[in-house]
Amino acid sequence: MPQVCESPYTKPSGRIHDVGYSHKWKHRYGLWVDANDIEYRRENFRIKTGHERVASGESIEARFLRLLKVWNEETEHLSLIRDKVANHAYLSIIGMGPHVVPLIIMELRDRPSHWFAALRALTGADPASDAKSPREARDKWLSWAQESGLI
Amino acid sequence: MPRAELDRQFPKLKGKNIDLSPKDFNNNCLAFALGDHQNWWEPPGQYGFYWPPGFPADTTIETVERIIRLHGFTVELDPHSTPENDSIAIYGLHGEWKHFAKFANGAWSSKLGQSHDVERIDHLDLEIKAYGKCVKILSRPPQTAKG
Repeated sequence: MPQVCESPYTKPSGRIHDVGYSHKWKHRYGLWVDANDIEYRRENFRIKTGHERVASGESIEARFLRLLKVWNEETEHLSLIRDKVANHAYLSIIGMGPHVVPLIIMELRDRPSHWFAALRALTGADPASDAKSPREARDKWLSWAQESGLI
Repeated sequence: MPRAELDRQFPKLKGKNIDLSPKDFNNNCLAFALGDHQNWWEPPGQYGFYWPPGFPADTTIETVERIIRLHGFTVELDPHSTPENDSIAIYGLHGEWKHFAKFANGAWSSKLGQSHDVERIDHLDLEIKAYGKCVKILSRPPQTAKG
């Protein structure tokens, strides 16, 4: 039985709410519609998993950036993507669920890295299955994100 | 990777005057060592990887040694030696490769994952926990050595 956290809801940060994802995206991945919806999803998530996100009051973006920093520090020098995507911080980012996809897309756009395994796991999409190189895979995922109204 | 972070990951590089190139997530150390700047060499598992056809899809030192030898690096040297010809150093743990460095034009260089290339290093400076030890150096025979 998961432990239910004691802390109250935290209001979503303005930045996440203001990004302005398209209705198509929201519909496809069940992302935020309004503040009540966010709180409903957070509460549902909290009860099901006892996840620390609500308890810590840490926003999705802050948590992502914290894990990203850890992932970079621990794996940037590794030679095998197999080892990079098995890192605990990377897996924790995947564990954040589809809410984190827009942040990953922006990171992929601005600071290219090997986000493809996470994106596939989080979205179920596979727009770069025929990519011959990481650069080509990045281009295909960014095109997909553009078509999805993410960027 | 800032220099301080580099020094933290590679303590033996601390204080040394080395050259760093820009980051590039498109290729890795094996590709770099073999002179390929367009591909990330890793056994199939995800797309975007390159692995030479006909070789087992594993990360054993045995398999990668066959690949490197196919590229003309056929002379095995002591891991602590300084080569006279173009060479590739293989780093590994428990029979699996973890990293590579190349020796060309009289100096060692390497690409650190998706991070920088480091040039004018001592190949033993890259022996860290994540890479393991330099287990083998494969060199071109003198008659085919470049440069």
